[in-house]
Amino acid sequence: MAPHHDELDPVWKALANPDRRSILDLLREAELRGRAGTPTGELVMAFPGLSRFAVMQHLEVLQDANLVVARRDGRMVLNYLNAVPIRAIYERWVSRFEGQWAGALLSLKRRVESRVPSRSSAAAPRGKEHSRG
Amino acid sequence: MAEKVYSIDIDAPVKTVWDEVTSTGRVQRHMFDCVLDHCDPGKKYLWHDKPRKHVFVRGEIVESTPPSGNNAGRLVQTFKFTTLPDDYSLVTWDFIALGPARTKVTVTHTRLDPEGKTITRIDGGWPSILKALKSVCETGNVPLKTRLMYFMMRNMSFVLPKSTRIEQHQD
Repeated sequence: MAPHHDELDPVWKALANPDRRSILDLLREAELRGRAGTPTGELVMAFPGLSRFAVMQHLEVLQDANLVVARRDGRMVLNYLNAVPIRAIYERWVSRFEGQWAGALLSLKRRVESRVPSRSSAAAPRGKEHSRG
Repeated sequence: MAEKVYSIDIDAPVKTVWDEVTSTGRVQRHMFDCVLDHCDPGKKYLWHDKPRKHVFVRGEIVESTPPSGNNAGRLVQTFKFTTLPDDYSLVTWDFIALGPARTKVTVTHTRLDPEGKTITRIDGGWPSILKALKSVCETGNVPLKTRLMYFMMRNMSFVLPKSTRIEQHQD
């Protein structure tokens, strides 16, 4: 099978590194405490085992994956967690099995909308097809 | 006050994305099929359901600057869930053209109470909305799964509290 490249590739790459995951955790915790963005300098200090350069490189990878949004505020750069790509991964992988539910709901939808009694649903016309287009 | 940022890149011209977000008087498929009644600066707005029975979000349009030439577009609105007691927060949409057919949309939600419920609810909401917006701008519609969710929500509207009734928001 040929390798399959898509928009989520940079996200996987970014999440593959434990230090980068720790940076995301830190940003999330800071936001939950009510912080408005975390300065890069603070992130550097939070990782005494890493050089400033290494942290900056990690931040660059996270920004390329759109997992972190950086904003300049005067002389500081503030970093924000962007949860949108994580949601994309969730929807694509974790919720795969929801397909079965979607199928069940779709037949329910057809039944309800066409107002056909359930006992004759097997032979029922499809009725209004809202899922079109 | 807390602040949250949500961002997505969309393969569509910046004007397409702007027109979708600021469309009024019709269902916005990215916004849980809600209708935005106004998008005029200085005026109040409601995000209500199609039958105009329930209001989910209300506030005021603070700024509405369409993208033009090399200038980014910006929409600023105050924001309050009708079902929550939290104060008005502030939503800023930035529309930046990355190319003739690629746009970066960033939603910055500020003035959020870290102890309130709005901050938790938007953390589930904005990622879905931006993903749906991407889908609408790129393919013309939201995915089947999302449409099914909207269908369920429409049919569950009887569980909505009194505070969402439109009569309470027509001041």
